[in-house]
Amino acid sequence: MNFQNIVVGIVILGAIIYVGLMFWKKAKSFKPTNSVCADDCGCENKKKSKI
Amino acid sequence: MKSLQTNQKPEIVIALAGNPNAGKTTLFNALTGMKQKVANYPGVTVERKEGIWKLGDKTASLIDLPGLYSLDATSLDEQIARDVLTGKVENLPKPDAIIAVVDATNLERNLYLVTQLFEYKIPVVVALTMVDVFEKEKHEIDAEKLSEMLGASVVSIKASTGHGIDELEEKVGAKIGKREEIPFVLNESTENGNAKIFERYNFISNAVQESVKHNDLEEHNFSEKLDRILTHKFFGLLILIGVLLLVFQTIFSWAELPMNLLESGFGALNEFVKTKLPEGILADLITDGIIAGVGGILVFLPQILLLFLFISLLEDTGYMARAAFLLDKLMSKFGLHGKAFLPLMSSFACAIPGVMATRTIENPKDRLATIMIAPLMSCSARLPVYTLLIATFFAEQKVFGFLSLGAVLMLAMYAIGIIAAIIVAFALKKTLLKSETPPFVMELPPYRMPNFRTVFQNMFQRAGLFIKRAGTVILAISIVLWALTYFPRPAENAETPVFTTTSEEKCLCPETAARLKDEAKKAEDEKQSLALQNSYAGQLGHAIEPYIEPLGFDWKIGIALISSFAAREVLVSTLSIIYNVGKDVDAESDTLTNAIREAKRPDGSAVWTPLTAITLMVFFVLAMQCMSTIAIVRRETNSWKWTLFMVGYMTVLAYVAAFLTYQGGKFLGFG
Repeated sequence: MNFQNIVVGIVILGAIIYVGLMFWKKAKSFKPTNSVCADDCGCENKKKSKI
Repeated sequence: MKSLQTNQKPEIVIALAGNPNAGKTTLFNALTGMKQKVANYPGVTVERKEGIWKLGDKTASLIDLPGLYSLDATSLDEQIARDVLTGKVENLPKPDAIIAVVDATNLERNLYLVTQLFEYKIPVVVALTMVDVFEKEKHEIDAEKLSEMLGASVVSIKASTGHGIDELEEKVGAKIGKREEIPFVLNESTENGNAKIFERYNFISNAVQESVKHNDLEEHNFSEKLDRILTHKFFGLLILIGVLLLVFQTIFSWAELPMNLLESGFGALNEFVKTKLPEGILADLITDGIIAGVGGILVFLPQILLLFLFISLLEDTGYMARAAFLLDKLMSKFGLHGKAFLPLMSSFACAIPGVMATRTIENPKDRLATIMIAPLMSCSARLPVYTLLIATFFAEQKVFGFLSLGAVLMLAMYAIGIIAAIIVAFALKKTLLKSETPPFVMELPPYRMPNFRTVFQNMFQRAGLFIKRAGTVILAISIVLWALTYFPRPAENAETPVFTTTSEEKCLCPETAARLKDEAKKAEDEKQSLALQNSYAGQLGHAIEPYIEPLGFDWKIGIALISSFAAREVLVSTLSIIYNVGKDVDAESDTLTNAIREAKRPDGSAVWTPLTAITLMVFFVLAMQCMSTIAIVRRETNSWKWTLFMVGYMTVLAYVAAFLTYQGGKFLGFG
């Protein structure tokens, strides 16, 4: 394995980790926290915003 | 100003009410000496501030109500305020008096809440703040006259210096134990919410006219005359269309030069890297992945800067509020709440703050309807997509000899989004989200010269965000995408004619040498093109090709559609990478626009036509190509059902509209 392959491998791995983390963070933010419930039909865990 | 220790049991309860930013907290701190107790209203997590105030020889408990504009609707803050005023809060007796904090610079709006406080028949003392600021703006206010007109005590105060606090204490003390009557006639029998609002505003208007003297009549008259034209239902709309066309036309013409410079800059950088680095995977990654991907997006920076320059200018002069008023009239006819307009306006920059801004809408069904349509507004991430396609196929073309076709198409894309939003909102409000639309009063800010510092600050802030996004998310996605288009590599033993300048070839005549070079290059390009087709991204693109073929899209556009789900502008980076890796960008087609124009299908026909470009733009206006927006909608609605509904309806709408555009266009002979 030559030097170029190693550098490119590291860069791709870094990018995959970054994109993965970004998706993971987004997926985490799918969980409602302190949100104002807009759906009056299906809000079991109704939480209200702080003022 | 006096205060007591919090352990003394208060004898009376006084509520402090007012609009947000009216100076309520400053007054609260001045009266209680900042000795406040913070608790929650039972059952909810809304903070309750309570302090002790020595009122003559009595001890008063001062309750700071949440900042409110009215007591009309059903938002949480208003519900709590109403509960406090009617004595429904646990361990908190009904107030003996209310101090209504009124900001003199927004007198009408602030007095609206006061008229509603009168209806509780609790003594009200008005604490007038910001009088000095009001008087600096060429107005004079007669507190005594205002008091007479309102039928309640009015005290001018400046809490930061303590001015008027003693008088306020005296007036509040005198009101304790008295029962008040409503100082105006309110027709309770009327069912029409608007009629009640007009009655209150009539009362306010009389009171303000008698007690306030304006010395800026000339400016005021000019503003009124201008408003009559700019908010006119026909001429106003015509002017709005004209303003938007002018903005888009200017964006295209002003951005052309810096865009070309940036494009040449990135091209030169690409060449420089190619000459400095040895041929191989690293050079390919940097040139075809990083520079093509990130550079492909960064060339649109001038357009983003100009778009936000114009948005900021329109906002700062006060024109945007008139545009909002005009479209609000139109939207309310289709059942949308007036408060929906601001979230929808924010969505033109980005749907995420737009969806979050819907929190100001009290009615859950109105709020949900607004969230469902907010992503249909053309956000700034769609701008690079529109611009690329318009610049590729419609640059330099004119309509009526003077209007740029690009500007007209851009306006059409924004209009398609708005019209689709209105239709969807209307359908939702008639079916799944059926509810009465409450009345809404909109305050138009005065016209003024734009503050260039704020305008440029806003513009550079947005540009900073765009560059940051290009340097992080788009860079990472470009690298991953490049890897997907680069691997798996074809077997090294594949037959490839290689052109090298040997001593024998140097002897060839120039024509033969050129022909040989050309053939070798063609063979190399074919190899690269085959490699791209067999790459992971190529396989994915081919897998979805049958589904997007009816829209006129090939597998390369398919890859771009999938990758743009991470962020809409990634479509541009993806096309840039694909056409670079596939070696469609050669000496003759050194820019992405040329590569797109020259892209061919296996049968030799052009992949892209003006009709394909318009179809892709229509798809992009309506499709839910943004993961972040989906996340925020899920969070704000607390419902997977509604989130999936939004993704589903937008995808179906985008597909059907793109299908009709492409097939309809072909039928009419535009294909």
